[in-house]
Amino acid sequence: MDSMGHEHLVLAYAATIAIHLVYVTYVAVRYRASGRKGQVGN
Amino acid sequence: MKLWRWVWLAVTLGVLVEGFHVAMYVVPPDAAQGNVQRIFYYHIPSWAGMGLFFLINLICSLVYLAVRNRNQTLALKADSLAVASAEMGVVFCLIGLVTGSLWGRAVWGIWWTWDARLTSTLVLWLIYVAYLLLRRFAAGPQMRTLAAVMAIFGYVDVPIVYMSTRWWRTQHPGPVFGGAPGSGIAPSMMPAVWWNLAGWLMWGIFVASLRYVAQYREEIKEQEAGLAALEAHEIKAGR
Repeated sequence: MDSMGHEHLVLAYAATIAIHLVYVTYVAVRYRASGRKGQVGN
Repeated sequence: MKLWRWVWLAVTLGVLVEGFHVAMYVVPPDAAQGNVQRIFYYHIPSWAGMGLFFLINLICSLVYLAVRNRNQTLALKADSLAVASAEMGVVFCLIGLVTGSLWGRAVWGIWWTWDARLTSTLVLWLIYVAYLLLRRFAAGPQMRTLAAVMAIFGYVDVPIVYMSTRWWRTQHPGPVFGGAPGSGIAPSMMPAVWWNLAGWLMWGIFVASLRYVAQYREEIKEQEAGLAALEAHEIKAGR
């Protein structure tokens, strides 16, 4: 089980990072777009 | 981006790197499961993040409903934070489901089972995805009120998810922290829990704060555009 477990550990870590990166990219795009005309709320 | 956010981001990335190092190379492997148990150090912070951000969503939804007719600025801020926290909670919930599925495949031999914990968690994720879809596709002044009401009813599933392993027999193991006598993990493993818990919660706060600012700016612009359109209509009507 150990080698199989290692593979799943790597996949879980990669999935965690990938999902967060996709979301933070979306947020960065929204953040930049919202700041183009007028700066409010920051 | 303001200076405090850059400092927060730098500290957060430092904590996450140290969390990775401690989780993968410092703490010992689990006696029964071996290295695959290290998924726990990413699985648990995801649930903690989900719980925190759905709670923030609930509080903001209650604040929005309470002040929406009396204090427009506070209502818009609460509504913007509700959106930001719901999205962050959905992201953490998705990561919890994915890491849990990978862990389940390694130790149970299956990707998924319809037990009470997994099913109630999937339902919770779907409820908040529906909340975000409602906000995305519904229009009109009642949308925010409907979304706030939906958020309050949606949160009912959070304690059900939390208590599911206590109330029903599940494939998912019982609570590690605060469970039956003898539950918990070895003290030598706790540093990996603390570092990753701190790092991922700090990351969530950072991303949600950016999302909040973006949402609030958009809502202000939307409100200003609405007022401008109303003024133009009144001028045209000769009032």
